[in-house]
Amino acid sequence: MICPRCQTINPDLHRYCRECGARLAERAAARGTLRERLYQAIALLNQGDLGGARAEFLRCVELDPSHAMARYYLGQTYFFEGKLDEARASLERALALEPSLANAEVLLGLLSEIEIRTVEALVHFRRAYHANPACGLAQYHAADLLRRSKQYREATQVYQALHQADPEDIAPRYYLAQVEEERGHPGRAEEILREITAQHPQFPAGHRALGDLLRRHGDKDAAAESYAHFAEVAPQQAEAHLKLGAVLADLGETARARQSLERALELREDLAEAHYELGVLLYTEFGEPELAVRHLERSVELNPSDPSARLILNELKFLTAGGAND
Amino acid sequence: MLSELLNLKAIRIPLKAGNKDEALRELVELLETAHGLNTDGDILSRVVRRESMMSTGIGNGVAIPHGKSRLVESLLAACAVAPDGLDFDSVDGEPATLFILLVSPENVRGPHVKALANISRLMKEEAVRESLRGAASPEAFMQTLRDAESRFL
Repeated sequence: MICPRCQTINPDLHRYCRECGARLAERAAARGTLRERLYQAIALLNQGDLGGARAEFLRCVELDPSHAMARYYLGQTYFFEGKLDEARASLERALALEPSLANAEVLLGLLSEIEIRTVEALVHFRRAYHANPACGLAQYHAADLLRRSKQYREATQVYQALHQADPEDIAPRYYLAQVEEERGHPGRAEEILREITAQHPQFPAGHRALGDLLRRHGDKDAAAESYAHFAEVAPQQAEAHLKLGAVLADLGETARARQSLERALELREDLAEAHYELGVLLYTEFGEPELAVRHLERSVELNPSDPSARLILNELKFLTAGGAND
Repeated sequence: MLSELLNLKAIRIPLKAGNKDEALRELVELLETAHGLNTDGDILSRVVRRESMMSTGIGNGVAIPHGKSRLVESLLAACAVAPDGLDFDSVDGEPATLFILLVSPENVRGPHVKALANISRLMKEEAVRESLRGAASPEAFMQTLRDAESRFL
């Protein structure tokens, strides 16, 4: 408790201040002070001031060591700071005080995931779900972990449960399509994504995922159609135009491909892949070597680790310098 | 497509060479034999000259030596796997294990660059690289390559 006269922090059980001897407020009143500090600390956390938030949460915990929420938020702050041991200790303490804190279980699950303790992570996610069946976050994390661990049947069950709980929510089916593709059922994945895009034609990610799936499985015409829808519903997303341009280039629709790639770069000049695709297209289909070299140089500048761009750039420089004729 | 520029005789597993120069020679010999050519060293000198400008070891264990020759009439390729890896002056300093030699007619520029871009795109996929490295025979290599092309190109 904080002394109202000298502001000294005293242990909770003290009735009188250890410094000035003033009578301390009752615990309930101290809670009011703590609540204000807690709100302030949460505000700092939301602003991204992790150091400031941590100091405030520590003060809250000092004021009331049995305050589960303060311990939970302190654990969350440590988590964001990358102080994983401290985060775990604080979250475990929060759960010991208040076992129904589903979000603390979720964070402990994520900590276990980071430490590659998959089984333990799943246990935490499941506990979070049991503590609060409305905690969709826990189920998404669990399903994602199951999918990445190739436990496809279990992941499917979780996504199906999420879908049944809220049939209007697109996300469970969107992820279910990913699971289906990964478990070797691209046809089923396509079916799900086609349902999603038919029911929610304004959902850009649905068109993108369908385009990616179709392209990965060799149906470039259908992929181009999906990417065109993607660009139509998300005209300001450079990625949509890039994907459309790249697949059109593969299909030999060079004029449309160029237009899409140039549009992608109008929206986002720093897209290395768009510079690369456009550079290759300009050289191979439009006979514009100087412009092609400029785009490839920009691609290499933006992404120096891309071996393709460097290889093609060197080749174009070699060819334009007359290297092939010697 | 790379698989259309190859035949089974143009795939060697494993590559016998012990260093970069030997690897280039072996790959060119493989290409000429498999495609019924004798260029009297023309392809080799072009490939070596291109290589001297900058290594075509693009990293991730992949090398794509290439060149142009007056003596070929279409794009041709040869591939090899060196399971133990060879120093190829690659950009990442890692030994090269997967080799793709591409040779184009001298006057062909667009398709040559497009073929390089396609090969490079395929080789970006770790799963493709691993599968090709793991191929036990030219037949398996070709099948893996075709599967990858249908998926990624």
